Amino acid sequence: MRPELELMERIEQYLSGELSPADKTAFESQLAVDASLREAVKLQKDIRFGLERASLRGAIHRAKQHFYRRIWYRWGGLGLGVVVALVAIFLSTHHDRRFTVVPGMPAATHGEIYTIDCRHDTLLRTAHGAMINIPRGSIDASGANTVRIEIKEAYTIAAMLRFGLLTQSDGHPLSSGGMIDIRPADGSSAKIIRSINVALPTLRVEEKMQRFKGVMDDKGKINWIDPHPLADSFTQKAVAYGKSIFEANCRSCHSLRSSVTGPALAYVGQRRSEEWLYDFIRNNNKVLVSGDCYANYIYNVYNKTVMNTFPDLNHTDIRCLIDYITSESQLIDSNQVPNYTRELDSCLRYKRLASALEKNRDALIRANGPRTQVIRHDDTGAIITDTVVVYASPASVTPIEHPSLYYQFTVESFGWYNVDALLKDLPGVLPSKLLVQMTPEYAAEVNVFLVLPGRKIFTEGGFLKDSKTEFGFFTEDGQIPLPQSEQAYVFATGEYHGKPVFAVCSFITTQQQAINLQPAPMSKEQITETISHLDLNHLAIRVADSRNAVRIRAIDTSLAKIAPLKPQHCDCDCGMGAQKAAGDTAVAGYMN
Amino acid sequence: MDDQTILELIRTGKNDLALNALYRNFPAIRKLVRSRGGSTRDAEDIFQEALIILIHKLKKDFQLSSKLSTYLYGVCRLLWNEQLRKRRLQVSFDPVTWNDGSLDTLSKGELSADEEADMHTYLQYESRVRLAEQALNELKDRCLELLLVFYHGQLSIKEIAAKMGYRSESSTKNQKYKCLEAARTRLKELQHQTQIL
Repeated sequence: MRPELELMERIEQYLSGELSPADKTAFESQLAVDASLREAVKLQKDIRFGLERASLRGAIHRAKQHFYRRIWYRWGGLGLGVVVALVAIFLSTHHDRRFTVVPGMPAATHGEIYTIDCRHDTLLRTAHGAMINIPRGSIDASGANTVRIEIKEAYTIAAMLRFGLLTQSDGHPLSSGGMIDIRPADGSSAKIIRSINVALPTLRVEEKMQRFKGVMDDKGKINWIDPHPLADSFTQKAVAYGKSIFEANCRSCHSLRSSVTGPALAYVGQRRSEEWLYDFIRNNNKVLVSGDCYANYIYNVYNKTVMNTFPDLNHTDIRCLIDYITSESQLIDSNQVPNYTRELDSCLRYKRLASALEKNRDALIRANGPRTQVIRHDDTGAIITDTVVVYASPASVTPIEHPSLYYQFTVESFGWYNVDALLKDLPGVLPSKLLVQMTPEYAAEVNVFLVLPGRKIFTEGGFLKDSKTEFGFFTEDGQIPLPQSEQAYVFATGEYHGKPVFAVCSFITTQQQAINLQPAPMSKEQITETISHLDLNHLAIRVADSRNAVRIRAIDTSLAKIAPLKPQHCDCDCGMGAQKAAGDTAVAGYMN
Repeated sequence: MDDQTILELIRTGKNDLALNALYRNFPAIRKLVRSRGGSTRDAEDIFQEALIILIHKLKKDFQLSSKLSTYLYGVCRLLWNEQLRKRRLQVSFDPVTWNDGSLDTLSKGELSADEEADMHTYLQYESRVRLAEQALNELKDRCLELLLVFYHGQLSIKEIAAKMGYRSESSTKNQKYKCLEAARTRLKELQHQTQIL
């Protein structure tokens, strides 16, 4: 540290009583003779007072918030959520002058006409939500009991343009939260002689908002004059309080305008209900666990970032928070804020269509039958089912049945025997070991067969114990009784990634063999060609499109078509189990 | 919460709890200010000043001659009367300047003679604090935050470094004294200006 900073540190230590008695004495004796040191100490002492004050103000501010929170809690039932403020009033007493159109503006349209009974107090609620209280005697209708008044309201830029209203105050532009024009209808000579109360609805509340009075000049242009602060409204306080909640709890992870750690919050009051927000803000985990789709969707979009829980915020706090966000949102273009409801809808629609399509697809696949179908005929040509292998120690291998997707192999044998024929004490049959090895991705998709053409033996293999890559043909340890030194084949049939696959290996039997089969995608013609070169002793192996191949392919195309509905950063999987799949009719449109 | 408990809380530095209790007097103050032409915002400002005065006095072992609520009400009434006088004279609100002259309004009954004398010293002290506060407020937010965290004294320098995102303890300390230096320089300028005025 620089020497000046060192000195400051020493003064700080002195002021906070952290110096040792000896150091303190030394410091004080220096203080007695050094005027510039005295000044420095005085300045730093003042700074400490300033810090104490700043910290006290912070504490008072917190107490104030605590106080209002308590009060609002008590008054919570009074409907704080209603955003109503008196924003701009144009009171016309120039009843004799028509509302002239500003050059270049579209023609002013007529407002709404109300008939008022001057003998009573009247409370009007206009079409656009303004509330107008006209006390008895505030309109002088020249003795008539009733008077017709015309009311024009403008809360959007479009409406202001339509009525040709200007927002200028002595030549300076104003930002307007809304305007209202009240005048006697039909050019009658009635006059507003006493003040009437008007409450305008506005979505945006700002501290600086003021009430203006409209005065029309000779050319019909309105000048807004005589600004008047709005009375301390509940709304303003609610919004200010909501802001404090936002700053204290939300600001670190959320912005109104853009996504930070969490989503942008502008217009959240329009996207979600107050009850939902209440539940979610207080304990989002509970909402997530309940399977709420929107919550889970957001959770996934934001990489499963956990949001804090705020169990201490009550209904009033959250309503004020929403009021604040709604108010601030008016300054933000809603198109710039990501709207997850839209994406979620698309996601749900995708999920509905996709699940219906997949259901159909599964049914078609089931109806296709096995991927490799084995048909056995006995010597007379009648179809026989496999004889059961009784002998089993260790257990015999179990062939796996794969469903057929696009292709189906058929293996047809006449007068062939299963492996159990070998168990008879035939001459030359010795205990042997035969393994077929394959890469795991193909092993999972094919059926493997052993053929001994000379003995008319044809049997299907299955995985060895605890293996996903090695097949055996009799017991789970790869043992099989085999005649020795005879021509044999092992072949694999199946399909992989929408293509038929086939592999065959020709070998001469011995007592110990491991054969490596490498299935590869081939066209149907190539497979037929390969098989035709084998001497299989009338064992027929055929490959063809599966029964429902065409329809399954059509569904695949449909699934690809609806894929764009699925938003990129989410799997749409949120409590979808409960979602009912749509009927086939909904899907038909996509299939054609 | 009774007065004794509140006093005890303030003496032991638990300002937050004490202030929450003291703020219950605010509705009466609001009524007072609003019945005399002020807004809720005015009432909040006045009440804040009164609380600052009260806490300052209590820190100095000041003996109250009345209930806390009566004292606060008296101070607020005094401050608001002064404020109204200023407004009539078209002077914008500045509590520092209300010591120039009309301390006579102090003897309105709620405050004892000792309390009045105390008020005098307080006002002098207050103008010094205001100046220091102004100097601090002109610092960068981060600087002020750092100084406040240090002042509060509840975190170790290591924790402060982590909280404020400084690389090491020594750079945190260095930063603190740079901020303090900036505040001191500015305060000196401000004091100089006030003397000239």
